Amino acid sequence: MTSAMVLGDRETSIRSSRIVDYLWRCLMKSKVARYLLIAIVSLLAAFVGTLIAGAVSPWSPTSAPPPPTPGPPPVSVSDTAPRGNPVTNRGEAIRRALFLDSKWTVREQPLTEERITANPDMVIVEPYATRQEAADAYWGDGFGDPEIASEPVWVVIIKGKASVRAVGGLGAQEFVEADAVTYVISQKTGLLLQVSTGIPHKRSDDHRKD
Amino acid sequence: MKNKFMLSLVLVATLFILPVSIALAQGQAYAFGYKNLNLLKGVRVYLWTGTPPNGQAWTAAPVGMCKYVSCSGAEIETGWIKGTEYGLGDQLHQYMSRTLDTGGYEFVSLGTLSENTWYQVKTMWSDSAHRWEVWLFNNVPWYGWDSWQRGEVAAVGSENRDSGGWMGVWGWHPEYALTGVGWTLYNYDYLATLGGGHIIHAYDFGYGAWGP
Repeated sequence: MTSAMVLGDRETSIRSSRIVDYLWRCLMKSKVARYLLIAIVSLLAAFVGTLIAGAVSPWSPTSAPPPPTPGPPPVSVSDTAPRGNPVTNRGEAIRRALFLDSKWTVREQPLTEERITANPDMVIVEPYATRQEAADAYWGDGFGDPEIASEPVWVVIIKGKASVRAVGGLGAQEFVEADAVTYVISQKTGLLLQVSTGIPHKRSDDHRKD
Repeated sequence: MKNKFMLSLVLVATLFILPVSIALAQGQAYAFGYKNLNLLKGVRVYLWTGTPPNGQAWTAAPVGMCKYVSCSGAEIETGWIKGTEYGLGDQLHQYMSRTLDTGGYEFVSLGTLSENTWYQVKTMWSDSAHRWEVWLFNNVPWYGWDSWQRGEVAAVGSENRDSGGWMGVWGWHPEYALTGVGWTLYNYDYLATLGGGHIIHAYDFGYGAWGP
């Protein structure tokens, strides 16, 4: 390596250092820029933290369970079913539906009890002795498991435009636009049993039209 | 001087990474494997429930089929789901979810499941009963009707409501049924992932899907 080349390298290095030094001084002159830098560095640290947390996730593809072995299906787990708070009257059913609605939908105007009191036609609330009866009344679906079919339920229909956050969709959609949302809620536990979009029509009314 | 140079580098790197960070903080997460098939009438698979963590909005193991390859129209799926956000009680449940041919949407919770257990789930159009059916082993916990009867794509995978959310699904022996043909083992042909999802072929016919 010649001395001229070494000198050239040094000059380049000094020149880049001066440029960096100049940029740095410009940046540090502004208080806002300093705070911005601190904020960006914090965000970077958080991002790196997220990556590290992901890397040490306890689940990994190397922990594959052994394939299922032939044999009878596992026993029913109905005894371990969650026990929540019973929903015993119309007001509680509406409050439960409003809670569920706040999780499932995005609305232009948030739904409140006051809004529903002021617009009673917005909501239809009906108790059914069994889930199957409710399905027979509106959708015509069926439940092959008697334990599922026999659960007493509330049907709460909330009218009005909403974007419903779809569980599922097989990767194709996250939201479904709807002009009404129906919630089927367990009377015993308050847990959600069904969500449907659109204004459901009573099947008995349809038959009468025929 | 050296420190200032390093800090400048950090600044530039951050400007590149920031948009990625923001993207990860939004939307959903999934990992799906797909196979295109003509005259598809049903899909089934053994699903491992594992021990999904508490406190997720929801995390799910979907198995289903779409009317069209794009999955943009009608679809039906079943599998397990666990979550807190949607009144599911943070308990493992079997579920059915579908987009109707008319564009409506329906989600149905179908009873609790056990952790660390293999379950065979199935969804299919029954030509004899003329209805859509969801199965858990030899039981039919749900059935209903829609105007479509044949699909174009089979899908398996995992999903979480939130980008970067926890997913953990093992699926063994995925099978499809075509009109006039019995059940056929298959491996997915192509995949789609989002929000930190991964999916791999596992076992001799099977898959593992996880995230982040």
